[in-house]
Amino acid sequence: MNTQLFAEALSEIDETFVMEAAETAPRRSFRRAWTAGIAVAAVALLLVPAAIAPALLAGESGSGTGGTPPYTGDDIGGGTGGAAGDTPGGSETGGAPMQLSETRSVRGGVITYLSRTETTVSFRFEKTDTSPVWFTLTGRRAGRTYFATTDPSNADMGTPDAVFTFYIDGEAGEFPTAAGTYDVVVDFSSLYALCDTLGPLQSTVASFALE
Amino acid sequence: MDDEKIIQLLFARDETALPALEEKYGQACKKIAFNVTHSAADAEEACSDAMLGVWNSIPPNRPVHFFPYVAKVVRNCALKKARYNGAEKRRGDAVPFSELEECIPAALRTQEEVDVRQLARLVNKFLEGQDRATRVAFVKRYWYCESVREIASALGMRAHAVTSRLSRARGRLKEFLIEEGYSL
Repeated sequence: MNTQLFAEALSEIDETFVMEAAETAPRRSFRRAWTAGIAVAAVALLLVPAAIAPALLAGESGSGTGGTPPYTGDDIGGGTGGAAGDTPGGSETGGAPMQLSETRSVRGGVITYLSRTETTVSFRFEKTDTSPVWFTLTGRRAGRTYFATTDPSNADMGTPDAVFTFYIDGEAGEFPTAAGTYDVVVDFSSLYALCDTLGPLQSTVASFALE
Repeated sequence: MDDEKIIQLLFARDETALPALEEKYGQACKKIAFNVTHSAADAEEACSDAMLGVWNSIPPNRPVHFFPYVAKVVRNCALKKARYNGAEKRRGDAVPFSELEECIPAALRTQEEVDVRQLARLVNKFLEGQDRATRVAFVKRYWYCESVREIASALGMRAHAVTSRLSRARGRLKEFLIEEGYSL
């Protein structure tokens, strides 16, 4: 017997257990986070190194109620000056969507937006310190806004495992903490797939819309 | 539309039952299928197969709990799809089934034919004896194939607490199965 068969045997467990688990829902739903994510629809693509993600989520100053994790879904997109709540407003710290070939200094290093395909974006991050890094990405595709973050304190913000995959210098994995220059490819395919499974059915064939 | 109404439509062979089913449970079903297959295309196919399966099985079946019934059909279709594609190997990191290996007693591992329903009955018995949080974590992980993060969020726990709880549960399940006769 292999694990697959064992897994199939589990299909036969009592329905009440299945119901019980289904009714134990996350405290903050993906739907809510998704709605909040739409608040940042003005941002076509944003790559935000970890160090500034809190500031981005909270607003320009990084202070205010949104600046302390765990963030609430409503903090996404932030409000001006770090105000939490429903105020949409995109990102102050992250600024306008990055353009292809653009280089931008951020806390923790310098980021250069290299290229994109329909389902991936590539960038180079010249990491200048050893602090942990995470990324918040927002994109528009086929008229929908996709939002994801690797920030573990925002793990329940609509980004369960494998919403997108990092390829660091060709290897899939988490972003290293060591300083250095890293070429990163982010594969959005699974994010699209996940969002499409959770949201209204939409085509996934349209191009990733970037400014 | 409530579950009973959808079931009535299915019994009446009214095809409007399917969009109603899709509207009510489509997202949840796709999430289950995606969790198992980790492929949007496979999940889509599994859900389509499951809708057909529900259509073909109701009637004669009249489920008391409609969602678990539908979810089970979806899960089975997704498992078949994953097995067909060899996905459990190719995408081993994405599905939690590899964790179940440690639950399987050696004697059971070598058996080609296993009474799946008997095994399920034992798992039921095991789950009945667990506290609610462990039971929910176990079912979410190995039935719904949810991530540890999702489970932690649902239970208001830290991820490592969920991981530990699941690990201990797997150990207990293995001991339980051995006690119940799956011994060397």
